[in-house]
Amino acid sequence: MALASALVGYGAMARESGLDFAVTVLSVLMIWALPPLLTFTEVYANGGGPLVMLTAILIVNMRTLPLVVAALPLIRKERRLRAKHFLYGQLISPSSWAQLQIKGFKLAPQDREPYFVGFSLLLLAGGVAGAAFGFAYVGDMPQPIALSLLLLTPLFVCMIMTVANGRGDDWAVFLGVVAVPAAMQWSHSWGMLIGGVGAGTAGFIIGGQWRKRGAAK
Amino acid sequence: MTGSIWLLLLIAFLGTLAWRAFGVVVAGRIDVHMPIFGWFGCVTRALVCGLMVRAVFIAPSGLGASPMEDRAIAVAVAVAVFLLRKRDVMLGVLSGICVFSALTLWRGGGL
Repeated sequence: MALASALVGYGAMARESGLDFAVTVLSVLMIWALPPLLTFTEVYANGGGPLVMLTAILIVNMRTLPLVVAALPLIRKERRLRAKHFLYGQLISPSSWAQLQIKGFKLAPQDREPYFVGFSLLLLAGGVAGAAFGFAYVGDMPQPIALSLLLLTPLFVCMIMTVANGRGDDWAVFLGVVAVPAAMQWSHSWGMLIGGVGAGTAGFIIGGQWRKRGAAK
Repeated sequence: MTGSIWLLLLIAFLGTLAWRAFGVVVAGRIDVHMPIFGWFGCVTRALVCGLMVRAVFIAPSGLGASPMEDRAIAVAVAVAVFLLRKRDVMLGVLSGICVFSALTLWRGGGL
């Protein structure tokens, strides 16, 4: 429900950013995770070119690698790689990964694959329907609801990205919310990358020091 | 800008597919607790949260139709509830949205 609501907000944001309906729906199917989806929309809205898009998406999507690495051995029955395993990799999202961590170990090994496929397709269908609904109807909604939808998704994504943070990781968020908008005043497209990499690296270093100090106490 | 959107979508798809396909190939063979993953996590948080803050406060999107102070109050309430309620996402988002809707409704004189 939360994910579908956030995707309704994504549909509304995509429309405000100038995407058309087909691109909005296809982007959900092809990119399938909210942080890279919003990065895609923001890079486009800020006039970023192919190189900026590729770099930003590669950086933001790196976090799906550990999800896939951790989830796939749980679902695949065969040791040999099959084409369907790449499809499963594309279906994994933070939500389906979290669900698999909760339910996966309780299920019999032969039941995990159909469970994962069913759950992931349900999430994807809800996400696509939500984005399509948000895109199609945001213009017809009363203004308070339409504006709230535009606020919902950025709030949801920021909170989801910080929900499991240690205090050290919060530094990356704090520095990012200051540095990225500031750097984008200088350059819309490259500023976001320079600000993000700079703030994230500084946050990583400060967070590491924080953890060391906490461990030493 | 619209002419290149399909190219940008294709690039975004390939950028998405690259890590996922690599993850499928190396699944079970690499340690997901390596420091490089921590660094990428920090950069992602900084980049995405920075973009979201910009989308709310600076970018000329539809939200620009509402007063800046309404957005600031709603975000402040959402963050305060989120932190005070042990990082409860649903409660944080709902409180921010309710405050923002109420302020917009009040300024607009109802639905």
